[in-house]
Amino acid sequence: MNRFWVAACAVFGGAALAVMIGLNSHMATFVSPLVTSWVAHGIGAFTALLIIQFIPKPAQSVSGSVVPTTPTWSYLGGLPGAFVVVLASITVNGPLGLTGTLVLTITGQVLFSLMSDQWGWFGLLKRQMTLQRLLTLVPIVLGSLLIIEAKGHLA
Amino acid sequence: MMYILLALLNGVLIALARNLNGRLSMSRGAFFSSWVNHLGGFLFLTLMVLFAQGLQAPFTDIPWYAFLGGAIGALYVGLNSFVVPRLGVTLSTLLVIAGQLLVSVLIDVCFGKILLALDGKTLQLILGGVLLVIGFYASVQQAQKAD
Repeated sequence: MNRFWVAACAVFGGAALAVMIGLNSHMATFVSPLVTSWVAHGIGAFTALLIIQFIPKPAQSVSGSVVPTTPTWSYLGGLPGAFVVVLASITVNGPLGLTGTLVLTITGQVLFSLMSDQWGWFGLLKRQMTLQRLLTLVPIVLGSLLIIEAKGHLA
Repeated sequence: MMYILLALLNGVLIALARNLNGRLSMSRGAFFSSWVNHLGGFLFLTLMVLFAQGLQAPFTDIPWYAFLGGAIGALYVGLNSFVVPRLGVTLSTLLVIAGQLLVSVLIDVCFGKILLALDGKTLQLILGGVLLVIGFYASVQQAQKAD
């Protein structure tokens, strides 16, 4: 698939994330963040199971993005994710607030991602940083920070 | 200080989950990965709910649409897992954040949480959006060349 559409999928994923957070936050006004996350994971599991009945497994290989082997540890992605909602509810309600939590959570994500790409952690393709690549990423980081800062003031 | 470390750690956990799900999707498919992610999280959270507090919540008060968050989450993890092996973790992460911010601003404007006026902060929002679009196109070009 063309890189443009793959990148559009990532942006669409982020859009889905924003809607998901909105809906889950609404549920968290009725039950605790822990129970909210539990219910959301249960419904998410059911939904994903439904989806895989209808879409075929991708077979075409795009620069090593499809491989035959499955390491056992790659099944454990749900565990770190299970902590996220609970940890976020702690920091958002603390002195950092929503804006501080958002900036620091993004910082943690980006730093860990940079290291994973640089050294090819977790069996993913090694993508070392180049000046050119860095320059294409800077506008996204800068734009994100501007939006978060402005949002913090306006909300 | 503890809060700062917790928030940073949370970011690391999100990236870790993205890595693991991305790797799983390489052999089993993106939505299989989403299924495993949610099932694993659900089983783990079941233990936490049972041991930490028990289930005493009145689910009947929750409006039906609030339950759609989980279904949309399945879509989110699936898309993530599809993108990560193809674009790398860093670019995937930044593009997801870009989409998340744009839509969260849109939601806040629609629900009246943000009131736009012709002032510096609104212009800053627009400038941020323009930078995201520039970064999107520049990084897509770069990823295309790298293949």
